[in-house]
Amino acid sequence: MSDDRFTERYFVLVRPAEIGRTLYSVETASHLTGVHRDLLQHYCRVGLLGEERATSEAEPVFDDDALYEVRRIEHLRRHQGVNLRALPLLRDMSREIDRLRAEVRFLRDR
Amino acid sequence: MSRLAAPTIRAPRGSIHDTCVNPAMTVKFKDYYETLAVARTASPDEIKKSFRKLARLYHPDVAKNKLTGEEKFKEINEAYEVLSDPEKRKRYDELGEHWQGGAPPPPPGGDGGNRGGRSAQGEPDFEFGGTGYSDFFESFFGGGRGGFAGARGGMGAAEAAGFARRGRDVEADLLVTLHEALHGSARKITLRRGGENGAAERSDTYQVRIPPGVREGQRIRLAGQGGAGHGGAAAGDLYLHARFARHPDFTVRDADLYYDLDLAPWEVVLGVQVNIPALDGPTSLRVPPRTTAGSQLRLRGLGLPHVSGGRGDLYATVCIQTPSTVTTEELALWEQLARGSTFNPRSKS
Repeated sequence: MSDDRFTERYFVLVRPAEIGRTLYSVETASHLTGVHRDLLQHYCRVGLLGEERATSEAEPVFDDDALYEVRRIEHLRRHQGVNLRALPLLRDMSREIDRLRAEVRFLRDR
Repeated sequence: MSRLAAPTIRAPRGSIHDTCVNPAMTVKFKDYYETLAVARTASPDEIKKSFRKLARLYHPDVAKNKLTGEEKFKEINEAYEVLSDPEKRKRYDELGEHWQGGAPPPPPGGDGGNRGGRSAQGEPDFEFGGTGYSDFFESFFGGGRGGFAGARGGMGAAEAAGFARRGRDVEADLLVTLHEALHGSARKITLRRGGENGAAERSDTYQVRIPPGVREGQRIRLAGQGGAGHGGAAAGDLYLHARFARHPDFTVRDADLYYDLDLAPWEVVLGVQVNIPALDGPTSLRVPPRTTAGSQLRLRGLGLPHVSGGRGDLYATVCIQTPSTVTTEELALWEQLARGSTFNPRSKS
């Protein structure tokens, strides 16, 4: 298995076995968010829409969290002047803040 | 593909004249110190203790009378959410000082966004009911999650140039108890919105299904229930963010739960069988002899559901408690132990 195969694959955003979540195909997600499917797939490839990564050949599927992220990304791009290259940086910072907040909350509660 | 929720009642409320009313003016100040029955000068530890005591009385997972307890618990949880966080507490104290006769100061910049229906760009406001959080909380302390607050303001509005533009997305926090996270539940949420595009103010009620295994911060999307679109464009969506209620017994880390197990010194040394609370009901735990303080005893599979299926664990953290008063007989026994023991807790060897 060469490394190239991984770069050609899409991240699967949600494991199908997950409980209680509504999942949308890339077409449906495109329709719901008004974002072209190619761009959605780009967001998936660069890991903007979720942390779960799988090596499956399957197309990405989207849950409500992913749709929310797409809307947020579009807002950042259109109204805050954020470009595509800056988005991963914002994502990393945002996740780090989430993680630290959760940790602080846990430690404070103890 | 099933929708998570659908509007059940669509009752227009008020008249066009009401759209002039600014709902921000109706936000009432909440006395969180009174709710938690603590002084304004209370230490973080006193606040935590008071919260746990009250939560044990009123938490829907724990309380005997669930109906009367629930509303009271929501208030307690909200108060603790603010007062347990030093930054939020500071902001709250400043807010209280400037609050004059029902005229609130403007919400903090940047953090307002669409939260709790705060209007950006002078658009109509939204007021939620049944989410477990008051309008006061949503207005000033909502959106505790990470990310970039500015992204929330007017998100989704003015998407396309020209006349047609999609309605903005609206978001609110949804209080979820650990029991609900484990078993799922259905909740009634009301959303009152001011008139948009000359439409009358209206109030909608939704039956929202909280799926079992819901995670902290997970979003539940109600399609097309956000702000109305302009020029024939689609309406925005309504996003509810699941937020776990604080529990009197457990703290949550991912899918694992942590419980402080208070034990007497001799119980730790000699070992003991104790009953401890768990989400599924009380469970028996054997503390082995020579357990040390701070040890974590794991009860497998008694945590919250994992994203990938299965359940997290419940950890009982051993906390040694010492008696504050002792009888003469007990004192004699302690003295006997002190004389005979070779144990030195400060020995570095």
